[in-house]
Amino acid sequence: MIEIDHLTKRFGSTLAVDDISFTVRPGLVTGFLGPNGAGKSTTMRMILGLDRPTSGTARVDGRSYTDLPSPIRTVGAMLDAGQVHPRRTANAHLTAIAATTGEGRARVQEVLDVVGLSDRARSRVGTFSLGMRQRLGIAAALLGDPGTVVLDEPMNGLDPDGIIWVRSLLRRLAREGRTVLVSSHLMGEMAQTADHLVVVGRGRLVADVPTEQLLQGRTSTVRVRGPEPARLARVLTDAGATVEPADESALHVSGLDAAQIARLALGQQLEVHELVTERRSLEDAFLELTHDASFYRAAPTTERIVTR
Amino acid sequence: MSSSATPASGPTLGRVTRSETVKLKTLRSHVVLVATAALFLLVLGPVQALGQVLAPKEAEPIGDLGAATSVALNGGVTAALLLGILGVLSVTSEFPTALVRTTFWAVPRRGMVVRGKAIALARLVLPLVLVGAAVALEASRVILTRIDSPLTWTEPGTWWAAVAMSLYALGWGLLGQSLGWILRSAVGAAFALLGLMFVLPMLVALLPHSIADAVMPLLASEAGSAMMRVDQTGPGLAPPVAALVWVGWMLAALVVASVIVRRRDA
Repeated sequence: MIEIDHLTKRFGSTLAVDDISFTVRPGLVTGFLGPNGAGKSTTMRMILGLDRPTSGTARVDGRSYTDLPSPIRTVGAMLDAGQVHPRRTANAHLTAIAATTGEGRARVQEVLDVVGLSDRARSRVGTFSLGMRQRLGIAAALLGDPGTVVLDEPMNGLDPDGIIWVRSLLRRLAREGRTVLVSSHLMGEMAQTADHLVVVGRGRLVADVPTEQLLQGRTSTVRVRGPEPARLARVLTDAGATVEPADESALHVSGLDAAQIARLALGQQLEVHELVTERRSLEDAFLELTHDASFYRAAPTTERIVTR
Repeated sequence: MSSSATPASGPTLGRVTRSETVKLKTLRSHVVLVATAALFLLVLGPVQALGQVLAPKEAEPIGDLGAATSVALNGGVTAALLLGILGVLSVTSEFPTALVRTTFWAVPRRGMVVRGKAIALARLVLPLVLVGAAVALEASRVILTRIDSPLTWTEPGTWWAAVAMSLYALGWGLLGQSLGWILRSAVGAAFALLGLMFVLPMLVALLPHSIADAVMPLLASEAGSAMMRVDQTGPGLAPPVAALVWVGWMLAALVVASVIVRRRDA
């Protein structure tokens, strides 16, 4: 369990993380989404006690990370795959980390097997592909068999096989009851991986919702084409829809579904030449979320929208 | 995945030291520096001793025990310099790759990392230099018996020379580590270390005499060389006092490093 409470981090005049609060619960894969520079990595560094918050707190299992008696057995972390000396072997890197908990060769071998790097254990990390370095980073995160796992962009640089592998690993970790926080700047990737999404944009929390809800929430508009778009727009607006012109003869309508629009048009004897439900792409939903300043959040049962 | 937790499973100073020892021994550049330092220490002294034997007229005469040990440990200062660079690299090699974040993730109490790295270096350097100095002294003693030198193991000064040399080399290493923590850059820390040991005494000499005379003996460079004198005569501090000043420099540098490392974002 990770609890982030009014966390803020200022670097000089830039506000990297601006008053963020959320909770990462066990048993779920929580995706931490946002464009590059949104404050994801800074937040993760603060969770791990690497950066000191300007204000607010980040706690793991009720304690601040630096107070944990057994840190890497509590939180497994991979911040970015480069945090290994390129001239050390995979084996030496993991052995050095394992030694801090009194573990040795046996545990190192186990995690190397889990990530499929046993064959390359004695190779220097500098010779690894990005995907292999990601696997090594994940191996390090798993060394302490931790109850919480924090991974920054673990799918970066992976081939499709690798992505599927990470996805199933994350699912398994969550199924085992662990708390899993995974960052990404790719909405599509997270939509397929995460059970819950925490979205940040420009340092602020934008959404904290189950993945399903974010995908369904505001995802469809209807495109209507006809010879009299102005009259059609008036009719639809009167019925409570939001209407934007799509081109000269077409409208984008939200707030009504295709059947309702057809019925209204028929009632007013308006010709309709085209009626298409457009599901917004995930990336559009994401962009919209991270670019406007609204705050969209769902409590377990209710949903609330707050505008700042 | 198997759960392999043991009752006391967190980092301790002993575990951190073991972890840092693994890091110290698993980079080729570190191994090369240690081997080169050992080679200088072992070879330079006996080679100079051989020169004394082969061409005694051209060489400085060996008048006393101090002159004899300084011939035998001729390679010591170069070795210490190399071990100082080892100290620098053992810390700064973690920064360009941000490996230091992995280190502080595993051991969030950063003071323990600073101490663990220092102990790991000490455990490597002290025995190495102690044995290296003893071997260089013994080899030189055997060579110098040809010209009737005063070098002998029955003089406590000979033993002191070996011990002081080890302490001197360790000091360079630990000052290098501390400067590495403070400056985070290999080049910066290496220049700072050389500046501290070679340039600072020159700058202090430019100060008015009264101040220079008071400060000079307390500088790391001067205390270090005063410590290695085997007799009690000569300028500067007496060797045991100089040794205390030298150790004081190491401890102070490590304390400053710990404080700075704890305060800074990683």
